[in-house]
Amino acid sequence: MNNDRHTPEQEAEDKKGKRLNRRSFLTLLGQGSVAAAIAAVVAQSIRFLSFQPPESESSVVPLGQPDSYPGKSVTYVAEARVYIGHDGGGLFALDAVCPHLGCLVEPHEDGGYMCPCHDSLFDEEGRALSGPANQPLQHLYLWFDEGQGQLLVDRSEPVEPAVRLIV
Amino acid sequence: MSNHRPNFFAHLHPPTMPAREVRPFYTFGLGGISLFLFLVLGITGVIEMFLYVPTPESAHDSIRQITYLAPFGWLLRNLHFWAGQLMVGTVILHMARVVFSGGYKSRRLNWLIGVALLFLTLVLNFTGFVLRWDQDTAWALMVGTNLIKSIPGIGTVLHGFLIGGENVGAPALLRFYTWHVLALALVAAVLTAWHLFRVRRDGGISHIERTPRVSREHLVRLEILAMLLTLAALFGLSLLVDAPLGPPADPTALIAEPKAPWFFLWIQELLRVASPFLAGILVPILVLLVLSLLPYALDRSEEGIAVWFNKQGRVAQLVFLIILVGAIALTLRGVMR
Repeated sequence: MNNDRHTPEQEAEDKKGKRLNRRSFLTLLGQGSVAAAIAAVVAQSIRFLSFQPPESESSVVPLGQPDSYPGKSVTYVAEARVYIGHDGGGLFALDAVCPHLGCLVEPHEDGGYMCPCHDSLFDEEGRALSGPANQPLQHLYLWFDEGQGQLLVDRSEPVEPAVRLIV
Repeated sequence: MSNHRPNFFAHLHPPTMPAREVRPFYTFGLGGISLFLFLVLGITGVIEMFLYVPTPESAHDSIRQITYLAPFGWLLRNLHFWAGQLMVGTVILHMARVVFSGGYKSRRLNWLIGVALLFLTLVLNFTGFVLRWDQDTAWALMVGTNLIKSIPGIGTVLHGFLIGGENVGAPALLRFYTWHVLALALVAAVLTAWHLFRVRRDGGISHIERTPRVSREHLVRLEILAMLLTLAALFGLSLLVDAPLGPPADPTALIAEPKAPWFFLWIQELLRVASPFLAGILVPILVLLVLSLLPYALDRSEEGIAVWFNKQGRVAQLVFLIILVGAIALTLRGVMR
């Protein structure tokens, strides 16, 4: 032990911790292991907390018979959170979820839609007119399923605004 | 006193204290009142936990049980609600007192702990508001968590971390419950203890040098008086005005006017005009940052301690006033809608 320390200068350096000797090396190793263990626990805890259970809810929602959506009308379907509209061209599904922060838009008195949370305004086609939303309301894929004999909408499948379903 | 064995509570106060600063119209007892409200929240909150069920199916029903069926449950819930609302006010006023009377000088660390406690008070209030799980709170949660998504890079991951899924549902409610009743409450309790400890460590209530002193009993009497008055206000409000409870949350129902809780109305107003990231994330962070840096950047002087509207701290006072008035103006605009 004493053989390691030759000169008073070196001993002084040891005390200041400048020179790596056996003791300071072991201290560093100890501190490093504790820090690494804490970092590992924190990282794993964050991973644990970020776990997301698999989504069980299907994005496909049944809408009933096509004749419940007569021409020149817009109907809100709560289960699907969509507006089903029928214009000259046919049926379309407009997502009611505001692209700004996720509130449900409501039909506006002057036509189109308005988000009650932050006053974004959209036209009948879902295009953003004013307010904080800078994305349009999404048109969603709508089809008639022969097997089930009813209309279905897929909330996870956006389509072009011009797409219409003719039944 | 000298014949007694020293009591634990003697640790909370020094034996004597500066007479001028002990007077009620110096601190207005705001820090102490905030602490008392925090204790009331802890006690009433733990009792509520015995009946509250943190699931989307049962949350609303269990609150109705607490409110309408359990003996004195309405009073318990009203006390918890009103203590939470009042605490936002007393904490902000306490901060204002500290700014305007130069109380942050020479005790910057405790100022930082105080800013953290302000943040925790607001987040605890918001997480508690979410537990109500009625129409208002469901939308506030939806907006609040979607805001997180707007953070570039880490937004989506953080959003998943907060609500435990892609959409707000059972995991989100459970997470907010755990944050509210344990994780955040524990951090707030530790920081509160530290905050109080630092006041003593920094030499008690900040005061002018060499002033006449009074004994600790004098302050304790005033504190008991403040506590009783606060309790009277709490019971008065709880008897007169019930804590709100809307229809159960339904993520598919259209509702006319979703409103943020009142202490976040200023953010909701900003969200109407600016992008989500700017209004909902950057501005609040900036406000917290400016508040944190107040004794580091705006007033580093050591003069004017315990002097109301001291001239060394004018810039800090003005900046604080601008933030406060701005937030109040936006809040009023939101309330009047």
